[in-house]
Amino acid sequence: MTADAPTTIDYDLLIVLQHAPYSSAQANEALDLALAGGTFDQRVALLFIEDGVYQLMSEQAPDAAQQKNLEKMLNALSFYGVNTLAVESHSLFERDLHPEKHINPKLNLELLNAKSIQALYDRSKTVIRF
Amino acid sequence: MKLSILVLGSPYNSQAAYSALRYTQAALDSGHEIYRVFFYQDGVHACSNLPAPPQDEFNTYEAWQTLQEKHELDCVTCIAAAARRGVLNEEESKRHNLPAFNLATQFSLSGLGQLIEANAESDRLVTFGA
Amino acid sequence: MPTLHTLNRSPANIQLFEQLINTIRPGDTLLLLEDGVYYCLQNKLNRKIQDIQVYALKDDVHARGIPIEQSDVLLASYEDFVNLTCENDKLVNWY
Repeated sequence: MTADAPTTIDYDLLIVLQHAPYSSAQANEALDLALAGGTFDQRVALLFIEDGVYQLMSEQAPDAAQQKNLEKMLNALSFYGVNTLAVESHSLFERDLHPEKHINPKLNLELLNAKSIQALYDRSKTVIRF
Repeated sequence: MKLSILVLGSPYNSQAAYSALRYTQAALDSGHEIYRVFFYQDGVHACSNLPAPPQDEFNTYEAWQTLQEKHELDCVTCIAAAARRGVLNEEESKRHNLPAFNLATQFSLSGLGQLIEANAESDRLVTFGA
Repeated sequence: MPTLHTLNRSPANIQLFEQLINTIRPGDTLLLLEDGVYYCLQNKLNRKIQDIQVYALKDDVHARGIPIEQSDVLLASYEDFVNLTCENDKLVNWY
């Protein structure tokens, strides 16, 4: 990192979640990493984009498919100091998802447009996609 | 420069483990330090010592083992991601009461904290995704 | 902050490419590897990405039989890939 870099690094790690939950281990293993980052006092941000926004739906009952409850993991993030949960607004729009109707109300989400997402990348040292 | 490598894809299902191998070799040849190589998600399969590819195919597994030995690389895999995919060392195998173990001795099992720490300690984390 | 972006997926992965396009900036560098080298066959790349130097990983290009004579894409070895990682301030891997 150059000393005169114009953008400050606010996050050690940006985790991009782009897959729907339950059909693979992607969401589970991404959230495990987010929780580990929080445990080690790293500054972690999450970005939900494309099918990743399905992870944020309220009223998930994964017991029905014998799956681990990801909603609980999401709700736990703030206890580990992970408070930046960004969502690409266009991904919600494309999927006919309405925040007040479909999205977990316990989560403090920031809706971002493409420009703000570019800024989020700029502010992160490392990006890992799941 | 201090580099760490993250491998997320398994041999035969992706090129991740092979590309990461070539990159790591090139980085070492160029005089850079490889702080750690971390295998996560399906990347854990690269740490097994049981695959037996045909003689006329490149053996990515063996190549990683050889590279680790030659440069005494810190090759680490996530204990939880590996266990759920059937990659275990002797101790874990006994703990789970399983009949066999297959983690190549060149790799160690540890937690995601090792990936978090590698990111914090390295100038770059280079991810080979699937 | 000049950034090296790497892309390892073929042009079929439209959504991933859109994310990359929205994030990449003039002065950044793009390295194509694995199935990402199939972008060398498309003019689309040059139209969508301006003021971005594009490289393709030589061994992956040759392995897939991709002709690159008429392309603005430069071939890179793994050593070049390592150098690009270090020369740029940041790295984003798209996969």
